[in-house]
Amino acid sequence: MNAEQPKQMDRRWVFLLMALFVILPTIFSVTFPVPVSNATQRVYDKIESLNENDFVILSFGYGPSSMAELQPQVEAVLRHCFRKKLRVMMMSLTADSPALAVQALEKVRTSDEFMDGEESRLKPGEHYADVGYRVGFHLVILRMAGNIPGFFETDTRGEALDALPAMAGVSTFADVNLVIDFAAGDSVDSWIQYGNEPHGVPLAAGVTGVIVSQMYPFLDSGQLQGLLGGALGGAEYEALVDAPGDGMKRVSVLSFAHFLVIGLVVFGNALYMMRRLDERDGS
Amino acid sequence: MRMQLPIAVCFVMGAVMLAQYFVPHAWSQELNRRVYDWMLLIGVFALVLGVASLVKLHWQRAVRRQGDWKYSIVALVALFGMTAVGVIEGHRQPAKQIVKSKLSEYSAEASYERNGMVVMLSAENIAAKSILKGDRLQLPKADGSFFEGKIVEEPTDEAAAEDAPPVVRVQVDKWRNGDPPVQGDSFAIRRPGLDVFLWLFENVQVPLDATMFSLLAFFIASAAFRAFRARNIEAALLLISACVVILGLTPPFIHWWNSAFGFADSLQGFPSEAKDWVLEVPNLAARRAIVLGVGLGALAQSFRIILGIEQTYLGGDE
Repeated sequence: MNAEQPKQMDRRWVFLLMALFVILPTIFSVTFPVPVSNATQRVYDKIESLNENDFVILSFGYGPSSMAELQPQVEAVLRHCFRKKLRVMMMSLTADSPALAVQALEKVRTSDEFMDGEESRLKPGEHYADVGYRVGFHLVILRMAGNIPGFFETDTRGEALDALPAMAGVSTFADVNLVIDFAAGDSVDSWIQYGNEPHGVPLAAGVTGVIVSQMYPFLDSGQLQGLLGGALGGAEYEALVDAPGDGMKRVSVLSFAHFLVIGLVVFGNALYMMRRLDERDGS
Repeated sequence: MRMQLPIAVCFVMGAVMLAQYFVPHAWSQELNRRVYDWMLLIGVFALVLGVASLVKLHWQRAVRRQGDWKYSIVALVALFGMTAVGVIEGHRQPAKQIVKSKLSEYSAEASYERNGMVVMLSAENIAAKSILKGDRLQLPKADGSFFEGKIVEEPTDEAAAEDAPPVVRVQVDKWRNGDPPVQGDSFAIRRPGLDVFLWLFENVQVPLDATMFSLLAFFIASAAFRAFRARNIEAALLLISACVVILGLTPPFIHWWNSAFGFADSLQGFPSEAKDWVLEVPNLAARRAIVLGVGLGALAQSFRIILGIEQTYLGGDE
């Protein structure tokens, strides 16, 4: 018998187990306290250190396939920014990001915390500006560096950026207090190469779990002020801003999937060892 | 000549942009800005090329009834459908209320005619510049629904009495739900927008993308079971590292650990610390080596392209 391939367990059982380990905790809404990592705490501390009316750019570089991980991060960070009365500019580096950015923004600005009767206290142009998507990826960063309102010209409503209170006094990267890039690809690398290094713009990132390990060199070197990693990063930030949401729910469900994967790895290796021993005894 | 000209252009542009980086003069910065603009434009042309290639591939497959040709038709319909909806609706913003106030009032300047009517809108927060031709005026009905008409001319500000709220004049046509009364004490203006496009995005693309990505969970679980084996020392180290990181990212495990080892302060938070150590020491060292290697490789490759040694990008052999 081939020791490399255990045959006792059809992989459809693995699929069924995974489905159960995801569906059951979702149905029963199991949640756990989330300890906050140092990387996430650093993002929070950086935003806490900013003053009222400071200017923050949120850059979006992800699509619907990554929204389960990154949308809770965006919502929690937006909530923190608006609580601190920071001015926010939202920009998208990928074509399918703008709708997700608007979705997160609307969820935060129409939440009870920011509603005043039937109206949100957060007004477009006054508290935030959404400049939408521009094609070019790292070229967008290069071109906006010297003249942000001049490059984008208008927000998504067609209002001239240099006439908006949210953009008052903002011209170049020197006027930007923090950029937070939410990425499922390599846009963080572009921000580091073309924003942080040549212009010194402070940078933090929120990334998917798949690429979080790639970001640690930049965190260690100080090029990243902080780092939110995957669904857990979103849950940690929700805990920090005391606004439990989708991040906390998802990370609890994800934890059960983690347990299953570890259980399967241990089980698979146990089968492998047993066969190796059988083969050794047989020969 | 077919080879020499592109190589010469590449050399000149490469050398100029390399030198430009070290020259802070205004002319140098202007050149830099213009070249970036050219690159942005060229990037857009690449999009055209990509779409043309995609259409050609799927069109040929559909016409020749090659394998899975039905999916090619779906791809083409989706491509042109989303493009058409985006072009038709793309110049507008998402539907939203522009003006909605209980203190507002309206009155029709002329009696209602089938072809439309002029309405004077008065509200504290109203201004002609905030209303666009194409916006919808909604007037409430007694049953809770509303009359809705389309604003067909550019709105204009009208003179208002002293201490009275501002007044805007709008021409409204194409009424739905019957004929509205010529006077009322409340109204709302709605801006129609990317309704269909957003609906397609949120109800087709988002679920499809999320579903495709969710399948990874099943395949990763299956692959972990079937392939993640401690066959030798290196594989065993990788396996242990992976388990340490996964458990350190799992709040219930950390919670359980801290409860189980509550008696020993030095063991509190150990799973998180172990995970951080794996990520910040061995992972960081390996990643840094990879990044430096990629950087040096990119530098060498760039020089090879600028100097014309590397020519594969021209479609020929080195």
